[in-house]
Amino acid sequence: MAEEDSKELADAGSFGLKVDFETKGNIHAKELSTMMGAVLLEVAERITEDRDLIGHIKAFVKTPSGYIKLNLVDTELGVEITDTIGDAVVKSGSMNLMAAAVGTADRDIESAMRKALEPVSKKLKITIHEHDHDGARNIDSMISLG
Amino acid sequence: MMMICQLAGFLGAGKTTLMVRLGKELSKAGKRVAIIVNEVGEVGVDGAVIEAYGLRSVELTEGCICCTLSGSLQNTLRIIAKEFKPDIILIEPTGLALPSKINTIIRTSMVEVDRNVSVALVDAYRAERLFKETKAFFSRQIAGVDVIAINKVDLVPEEKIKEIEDLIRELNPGSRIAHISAKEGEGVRELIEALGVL
Repeated sequence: MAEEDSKELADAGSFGLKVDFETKGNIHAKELSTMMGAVLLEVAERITEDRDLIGHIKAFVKTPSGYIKLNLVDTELGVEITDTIGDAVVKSGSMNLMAAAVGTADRDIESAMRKALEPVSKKLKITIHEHDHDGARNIDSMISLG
Repeated sequence: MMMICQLAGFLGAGKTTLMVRLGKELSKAGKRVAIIVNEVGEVGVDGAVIEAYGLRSVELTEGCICCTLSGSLQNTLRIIAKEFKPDIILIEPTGLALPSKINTIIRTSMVEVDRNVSVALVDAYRAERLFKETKAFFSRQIAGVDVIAINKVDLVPEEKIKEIEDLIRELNPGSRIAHISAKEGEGVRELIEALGVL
């Protein structure tokens, strides 16, 4: 008997990205967290297509001055944001984004996440760490946006 | 004397928030704590969050430790037990994991464990919707755990919590139920006592 896969059992898809960024000009944490909150909402909108979100979309932004943690589990509740950067100006950092949702395929979440990140490149020069597989080894390559 | 505590629950139930609270409480009490965090995607977020709160963790990504990464979980448990010798290993599986399967994997890992406890978190704000949309999966996620913790009780009225308890009892009649807000810290001390991890 084939081993049961819980992701298949839940009919869920998932995708995650690691991104490095440099800001184009001075950006404060508040602006960055608003921008990233919009990214999470855009991912939700794209993957749910007017259905309720049954899943979790999250991001963790790390900078030398602190971090921003963003969580979205319900579009009515909105994005929950924890910001430890305060008033500091952000110049660079890295972020991890992850989304998993029921009734959605991995490729659809990937596509939604990449599309949702596109507007961000007006304010940030972002470098996405691409994660491919070659046998047992993981190969990270990079793609730049903005 | 090593203990394992699994914090399970659906996507977005608040597992990482509770993990941080438990990790800090246990460390403060002088316990040697190891944390294993699992993400279904290629890139993890929870490991970075946990580390931001000053806790160290081992992150297993790109699969679920209850099925596709079961071997990785067993190897990680063996390495941690041998090299770190913790008092307690906290495991945060993906939001798509089945706790009963993880318990089986722990039992067959050849790691000497004195106690293995599990808690399933249920998001009070979304419980009814999750029950409606994913009933079969939801039932399996809360089956066979020691405690079912209704989380985010700060977001819903008292009568709603009673309705969620009724739903849970319908699916898992013998379960022990706790009410918590991992974010606000409400009920966490009582949960720690119920789990017997201190």
